[in-house]
Amino acid sequence: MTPAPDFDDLVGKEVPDEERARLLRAHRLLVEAGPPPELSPELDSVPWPEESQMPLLKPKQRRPLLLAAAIATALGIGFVLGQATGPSSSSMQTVRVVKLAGTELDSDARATLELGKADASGNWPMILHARGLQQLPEGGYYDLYLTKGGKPVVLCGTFNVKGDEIIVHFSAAYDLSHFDKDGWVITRQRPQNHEPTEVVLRPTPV
Amino acid sequence: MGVSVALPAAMPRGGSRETTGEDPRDERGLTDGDLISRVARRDANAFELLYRRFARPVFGLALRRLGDRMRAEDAVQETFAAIWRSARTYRPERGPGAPWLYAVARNAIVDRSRNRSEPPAEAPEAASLEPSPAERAEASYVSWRVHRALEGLSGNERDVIELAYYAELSQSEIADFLGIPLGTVKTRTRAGLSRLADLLEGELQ
Repeated sequence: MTPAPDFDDLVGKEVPDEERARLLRAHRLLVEAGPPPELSPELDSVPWPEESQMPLLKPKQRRPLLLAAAIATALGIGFVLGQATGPSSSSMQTVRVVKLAGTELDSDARATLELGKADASGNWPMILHARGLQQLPEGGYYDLYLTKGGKPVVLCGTFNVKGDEIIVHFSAAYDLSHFDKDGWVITRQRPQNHEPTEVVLRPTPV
Repeated sequence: MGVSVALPAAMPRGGSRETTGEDPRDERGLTDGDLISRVARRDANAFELLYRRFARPVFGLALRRLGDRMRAEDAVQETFAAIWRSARTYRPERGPGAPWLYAVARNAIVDRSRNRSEPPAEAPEAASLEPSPAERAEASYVSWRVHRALEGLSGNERDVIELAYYAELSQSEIADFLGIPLGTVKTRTRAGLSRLADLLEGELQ
């Protein structure tokens, strides 16, 4: 075991008794625990589970749906090559723009979501431009969800707002054909409620 | 495939998940339990944050159980795959996230050891001087909590704490090593200890 450093040397002697006792307990636990291991370079990067690459599919469904996803992606790319236009604000090649309007929960809010061309791994880049979203209390945040049957079902990312306007970059690995057309909503999450029950932005009717 | 989640054999005094104190929040207000719930909804950002918080505690636990770095690295990967698979079984109302993660990690490490028919690295109990299984389990759990808590410090605070406790450097040597004034080292050390005391509240009760 590594020798313990001198506690008085660390914190000084002019610490109130109660605080000193609290710090001393933490000191003893640090000594008891011993040093944490250094991570090897292999563990520096997140070991994404194989399942995370196909988050919505059960194992038995994977093979045929992978094929379907590949076909859909190929068709999508063909569509993109013919249609790629839009207010892209970066080097991303925009293939679709979804306009979102505030619900009764935040009627002044509005947003556009630019969907980019999927990369070779099937990741769809997205850029959200939002205005007028309320700044949430500490611990609150917004979620971008994909919907199915009008209900938020899978999370595409989270963000916070400070100020009137925000631009956020996301990436989604889902097969979009499994979801509603233009099926994105933004939900408001509160510190004690992380369920997607408060939809504040939803697609505007075409 | 899910992972059965049993309570740790040795919990800090009190012995149940309900008595381990509140789940500490990070600067964004997200607890470990919040992150697990978000992983259950397949939030990749939450999974990455959870990995950053728990990679070293899981690796430390795996090293202690398996005694071999390569096997421990494999166990870390398998543990986080298990977390991804079984996050839906976490129930926030039953307690904070760290004990649940400990149970998942411990089970994944033990399962892996059994599945490969490899003998455990720990020496069998031979003499009365050896710690009992319960004592070893409690020591593992304390290390887990402390290592998790260290991840909750700012980088500046963590550096001075780890140099003081685990590199055997004096405060003056830390100041020289980091190129900062001695007073700053003392301030960061005390602030780091105070923050650790907050994070380890469950241990201290």
